[in-house]
Amino acid sequence: MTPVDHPAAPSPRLSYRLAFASALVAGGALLLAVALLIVVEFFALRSALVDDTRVQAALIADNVSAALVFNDAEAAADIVGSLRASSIVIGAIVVDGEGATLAAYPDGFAADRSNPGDFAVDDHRFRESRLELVAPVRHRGAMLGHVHLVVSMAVVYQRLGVYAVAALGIAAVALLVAVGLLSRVRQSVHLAEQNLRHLAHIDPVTGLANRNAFNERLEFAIREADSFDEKVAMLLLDLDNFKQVNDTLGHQAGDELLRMVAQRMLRALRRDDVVARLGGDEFAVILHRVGARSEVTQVCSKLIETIGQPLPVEGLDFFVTASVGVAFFPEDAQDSRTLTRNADTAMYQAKLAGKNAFELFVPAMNASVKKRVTLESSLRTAMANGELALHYQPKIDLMSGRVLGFEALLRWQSPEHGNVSPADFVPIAEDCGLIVPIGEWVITQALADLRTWNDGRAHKLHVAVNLSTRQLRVDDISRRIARLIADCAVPADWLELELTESMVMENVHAQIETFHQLRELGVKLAIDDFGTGYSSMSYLKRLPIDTLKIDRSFVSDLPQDANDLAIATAIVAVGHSLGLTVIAEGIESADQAEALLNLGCDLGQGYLYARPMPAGEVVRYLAAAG
Amino acid sequence: MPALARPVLRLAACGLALLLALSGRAGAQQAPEHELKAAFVYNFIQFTQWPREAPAGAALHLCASGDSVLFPALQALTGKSAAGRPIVLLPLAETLAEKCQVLVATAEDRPRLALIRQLADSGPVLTVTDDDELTREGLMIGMSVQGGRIVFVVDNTRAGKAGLLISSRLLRLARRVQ
Repeated sequence: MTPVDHPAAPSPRLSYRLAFASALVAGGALLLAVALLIVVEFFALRSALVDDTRVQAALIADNVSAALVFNDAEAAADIVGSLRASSIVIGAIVVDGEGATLAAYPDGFAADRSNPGDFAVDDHRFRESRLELVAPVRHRGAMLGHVHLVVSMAVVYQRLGVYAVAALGIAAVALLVAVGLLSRVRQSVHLAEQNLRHLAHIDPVTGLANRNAFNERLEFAIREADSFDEKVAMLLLDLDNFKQVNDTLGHQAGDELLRMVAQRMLRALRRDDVVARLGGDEFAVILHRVGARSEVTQVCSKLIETIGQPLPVEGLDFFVTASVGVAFFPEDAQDSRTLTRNADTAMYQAKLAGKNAFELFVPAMNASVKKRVTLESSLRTAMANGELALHYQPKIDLMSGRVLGFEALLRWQSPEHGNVSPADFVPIAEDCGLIVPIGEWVITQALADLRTWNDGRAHKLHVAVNLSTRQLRVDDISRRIARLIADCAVPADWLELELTESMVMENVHAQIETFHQLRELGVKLAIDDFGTGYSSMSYLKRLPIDTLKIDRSFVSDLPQDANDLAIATAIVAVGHSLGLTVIAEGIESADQAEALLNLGCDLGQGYLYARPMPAGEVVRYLAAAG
Repeated sequence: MPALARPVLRLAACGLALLLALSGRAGAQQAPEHELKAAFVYNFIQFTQWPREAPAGAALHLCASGDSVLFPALQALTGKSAAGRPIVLLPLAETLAEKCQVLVATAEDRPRLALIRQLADSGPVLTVTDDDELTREGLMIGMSVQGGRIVFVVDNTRAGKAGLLISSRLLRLARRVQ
């Protein structure tokens, strides 16, 4: 498959005709110019001839004056005879004041002396390719007679002919040179245009079509499908964890990875499907003449599977996954913009649904996206408006029943949306980056609350705060947390940070350094939802953690479910063998508590002891608990 | 001179036309040889340039002996002008000799050759004669009748010595130029 071809280039035949037409126009203009020049030259030559003839006639008139005075025909003939030296003179006569001819050259020449009025205004006239000129003969003011001189215009026409041939020749040569130069210029312009068009339509990293080209192709595909009553599927594909590869290995490796993904996509698709890179880690595909929807889902599965194969970059195997959103023309959208937006919505849903998956667009998605958008805009003002609050759930020592600390849980009471679940708004906050300031507010608030509660207590309580993936990626997270702790003026070991198991294991290379830095501060680290992800025991050993938290899914069916019991037993065993504290969450009954206590689990939290409560109730709760 | 009678008449006819053209005077009358010669004299004056051109209006003195056969014909030139100078005919006399710019001598003047020589040597005087002997004696322009036409010879060297400039156009018409 050629990634991009250009339908916009004009046909060579048309450009040839354009060149021909412009040469024709230039030739016409040159011809007109030459014709005008010839006319101008004709008048110039004729005028020069008149001037020459006038000088000649004046010379004769001057010389012949004495002959006229003395009526000396012989001398006059002699003088006029000197004209034989001139090739252009046809003849001349000398006429005395009475109009009688005194002498003629050649002998017997008779000038046409009809219409003498012609010479009244001008001293010459043109007759049948002859120039006739009359010069007066004067001596000391007296008018003695006239000299009539008749010369041939042949020399004018001859010179004009030579001039015309030369001018036409020069014009023809100039035209040829100009046409040659122009065609070369046009060729290089054409090349440059092609180059520009190429640059404007090609993604330089992958060689695929870029966003511009894709939009054009999509418009074209839609128009075509519309006129032939066909279906078009648009796939929007986003690499889920490309950013981490790019951040870890650098842009060079990132580009290499994008190229490999592009190659795999091209291989997985038909020849006439269009593949484009829209930017970043976002790709798009147009599938023409789609039949059943199942056809498209097969293509999506194939794409996700091929991209999911290990990618060898710089000697290491990398795994990237892709989320794909699909929208169809004409069912989902009537125009390219809506089609793209709906594919984007579907892709977004695929991400929400856990990534590495595809989703076909359904109109309901729009509603959920819309809801997200309004939630996001409300969330931006929530912190400033004091709509966020922390609730605390106690952590109990299973053995003694004493309160050891609390888990801080974020609550959002929105005037627009009511109580919004953290499950709904935390992902939004993570996507739009709000999680960073919110997370810092949570730590500050929790530590401030804890300080009042610990005031005067013998056994100091600690508070656990959940940390999101996005927060961990903030460059100097450990330094920022250290500053928050310092601002609250409390010991660092009052703070416990809870990280989910998948979060920790997903990018353990990049984060192990951060964990060590946090640990050095004195902050405690807990692994949340333990048992739901895939933990490598060797990593677990190397990680500087303090606590494992058994996920509530393994607690709810205790003590009846043998599998859950086995898992809980194993977690406690692993935790203790690594010297970690083990805590169970979601304890709702005394049976569960007893079973866990029997397994050796250290701490527990759940409705059995207390529901999460506002900060204001904690003091009363602590007083009641003793 | 009966042998000359017919050619002279033919010549006279041409000369009349010429004279009329020059003078612009209308009318037709017989022009004898003498008047024709007088007309030639006038034309010679036209094609001659004197040194130190006198201011316009100063008369050009034409001298001839009172007994010259041409004297009556020359009288007709009085009142005409050449190059803006009115022509005045003076009878040749020793006392007036230095006033002459043109001297016309005929066969009757042969005895006065000495006076003529003296006059010619005294300054720029154009000397004209119709007598072959006087022509040989060194007058500047000598007229004669040949084949019924008046022809003339010019001694341009002598004229040049006297400070006179005779137009090349006139010289061209001369039978002989020295």
